[in-house]
Amino acid sequence: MVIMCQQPRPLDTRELIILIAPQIFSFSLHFGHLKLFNLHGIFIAHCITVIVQQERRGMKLHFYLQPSSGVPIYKQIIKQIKHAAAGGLLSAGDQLPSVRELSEDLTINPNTVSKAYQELERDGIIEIIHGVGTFVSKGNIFMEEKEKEGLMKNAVKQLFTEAYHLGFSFERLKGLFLEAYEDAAVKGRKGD
Amino acid sequence: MVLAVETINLTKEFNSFKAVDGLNLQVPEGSVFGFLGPNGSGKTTTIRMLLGITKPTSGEGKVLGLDIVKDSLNIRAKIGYMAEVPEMYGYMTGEELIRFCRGFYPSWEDGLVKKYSELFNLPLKNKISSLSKGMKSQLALIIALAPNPSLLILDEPTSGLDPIKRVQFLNIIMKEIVGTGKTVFFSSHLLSDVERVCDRVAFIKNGRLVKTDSMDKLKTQEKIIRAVFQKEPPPGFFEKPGIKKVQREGNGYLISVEDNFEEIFEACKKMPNFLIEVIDQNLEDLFVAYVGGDNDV
Repeated sequence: MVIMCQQPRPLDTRELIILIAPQIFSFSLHFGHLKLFNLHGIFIAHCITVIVQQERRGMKLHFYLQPSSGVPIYKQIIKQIKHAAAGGLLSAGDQLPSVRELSEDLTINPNTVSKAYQELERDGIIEIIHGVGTFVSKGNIFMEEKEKEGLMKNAVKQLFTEAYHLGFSFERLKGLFLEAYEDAAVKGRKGD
Repeated sequence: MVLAVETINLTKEFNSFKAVDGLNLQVPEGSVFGFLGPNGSGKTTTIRMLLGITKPTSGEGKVLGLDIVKDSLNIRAKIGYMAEVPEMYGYMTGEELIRFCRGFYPSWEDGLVKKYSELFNLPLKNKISSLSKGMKSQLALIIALAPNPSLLILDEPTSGLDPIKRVQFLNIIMKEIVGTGKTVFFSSHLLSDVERVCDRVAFIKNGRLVKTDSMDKLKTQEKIIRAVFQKEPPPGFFEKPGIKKVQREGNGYLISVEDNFEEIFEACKKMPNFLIEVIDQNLEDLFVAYVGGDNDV
């Protein structure tokens, strides 16, 4: 019943750009391909429910959690820490908030935070030193090219699905894409 | 897995009406367990049986390893409980009620009372009859937490609280209870709260358990695949374990999946298609899907 409501409806160009562009460009941003784009703002406006600022050694980490999304909370945390590490927002040796602190800041179950941290440790992104704290690993934590590509592919695929629903021709979509690209480039330069 | 609460075929009949019907629940120790269902589905009756306030018609149950019929007094001394509508003596002040309750609990800690009443900024010197609904809930919560219980049973705990008090309340639960390995069992209609804090949930409808699983599994496995295939899939294609329901949608299908999601998704992707899309389900969607409709159980 809920699903039926999600039938395609006409969107104007602006809406479409707002809908699609941030996802693609913020992904690019995270992976450092397109450093000049400063589209973080749009991305944040998009998915905020909670913003937590952790200030540690001058380091700021924002978590945007969406408890009511279909993605488990622990996966949302993993993804954001991975992105932060791969994008250079976190550097090796940076301390992460403790399980207790983070669960309190975000009002989520400490078991959820533990689960995220354990998985990140298994992947070598962070190191948990018992009794001391949780730190970003000293090793190479750059995201695999393949993984980056997979994420971009998903974003692009989403774009095409959306375009299909709205009955957009390839040419029209291309126009929008380039327009959004130019727009973002201008904003990015101004941001610098 | 050690269970904090376990029920086997727990049943309660009022005359011929089955309020709880053969309920099998398992609540692991150290979890935050969300007990969900529409109004009148038997949540409160179940909780009252766990506490020994109501005797079951048949079936059995264990709370912290103790029998809910034989050891009910023992159980009540060990757990913290907050009722849906806290009924308290209106002529007493908060302080008097707290003093009255502390005698029942061997493990009562005055320090906890002080800590929480300061946090909630609750006027304990006032008569209870003069307190607002939210204040009464907070007082009931303080009394439930003061014995430092290893199991906390809460019936609709956050429904009377404003958003700020709700966050404070959930944080106390997270920090003081879950952080120390204790168990929380709570019923709620505020699914956004449940989504944040619960690791396991159970859906109950007409006194029967409809679904119970971990929150993470629900969120990774319960999805809807929208697919438009290039030609009709072969007969039997949808007969896979994990597919809950298949609906037609125009030229395509809406496939509701409850398990084996990756496998089913791969199989759909292999079929020549015009469109394959995954629709995530949040707790509200699942709640409506499991206990909303009258015809499908």
